[in-house]
Amino acid sequence: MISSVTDSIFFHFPMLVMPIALVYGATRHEHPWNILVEACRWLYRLLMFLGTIAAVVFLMTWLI
Amino acid sequence: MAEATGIVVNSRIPGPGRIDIGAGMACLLVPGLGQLLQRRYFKAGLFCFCVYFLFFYGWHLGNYSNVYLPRAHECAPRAKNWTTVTAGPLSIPFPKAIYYRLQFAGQLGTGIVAWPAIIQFWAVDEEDPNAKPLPLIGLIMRAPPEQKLNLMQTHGTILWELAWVFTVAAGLLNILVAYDAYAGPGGPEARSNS
Repeated sequence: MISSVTDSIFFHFPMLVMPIALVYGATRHEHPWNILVEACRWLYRLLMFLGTIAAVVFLMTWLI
Repeated sequence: MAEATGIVVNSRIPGPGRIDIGAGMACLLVPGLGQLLQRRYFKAGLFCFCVYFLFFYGWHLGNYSNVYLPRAHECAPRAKNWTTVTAGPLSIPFPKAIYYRLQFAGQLGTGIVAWPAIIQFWAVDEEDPNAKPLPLIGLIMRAPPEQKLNLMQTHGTILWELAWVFTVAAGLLNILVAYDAYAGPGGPEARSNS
């Protein structure tokens, strides 16, 4: 059960996007609070972008 | 360091017209080292943690065998170190090892943690069954033989593919980190700071 969960790419997805958002936020700002706010913005953008791609792929899979 | 109206003022922060080449180079060795030299401790820790987390998490997911540079003797062109990449009318010579493991170009951005792969590449032929572990680094980041790679790719899970994405993302992010140490942050704070 646990193995099947950790074998899913979606389990590892947060570990990929959160550091990316944090690093990108930190390259734009110097103050920790501003970095956090920018990281949240980037997390939102990343999730929207990847979610849109996932939705298109799922839709195409369903149609085919 | 003084703080006024939410704007951090630190004379060590690079900005427009004030660059720090040494700090940028230091980041290409160890993520966050440049920021540490500039006494930007919070960002140094954050960058080091995030980049190394991505790299080591990806390396772990890939069974510690996805960061390597192959000699690729058995791949075309056989027994040569260079291959040719055609771009329109141009034929550009390209190192064969990187051609067969383009991911390593990204992984190398992480800095010295990826260097054992280069040492293994120079010292050991991955197809040699009698190759011994190297002193200090042993078998770390040695290229798996072609047969083992094929087995991992055909019988392994999708995580094998995801794993190198983590390590490459770490290397590419470290280039942004190095740029931050070299030229400062790109947001409005930095411009008001200069």
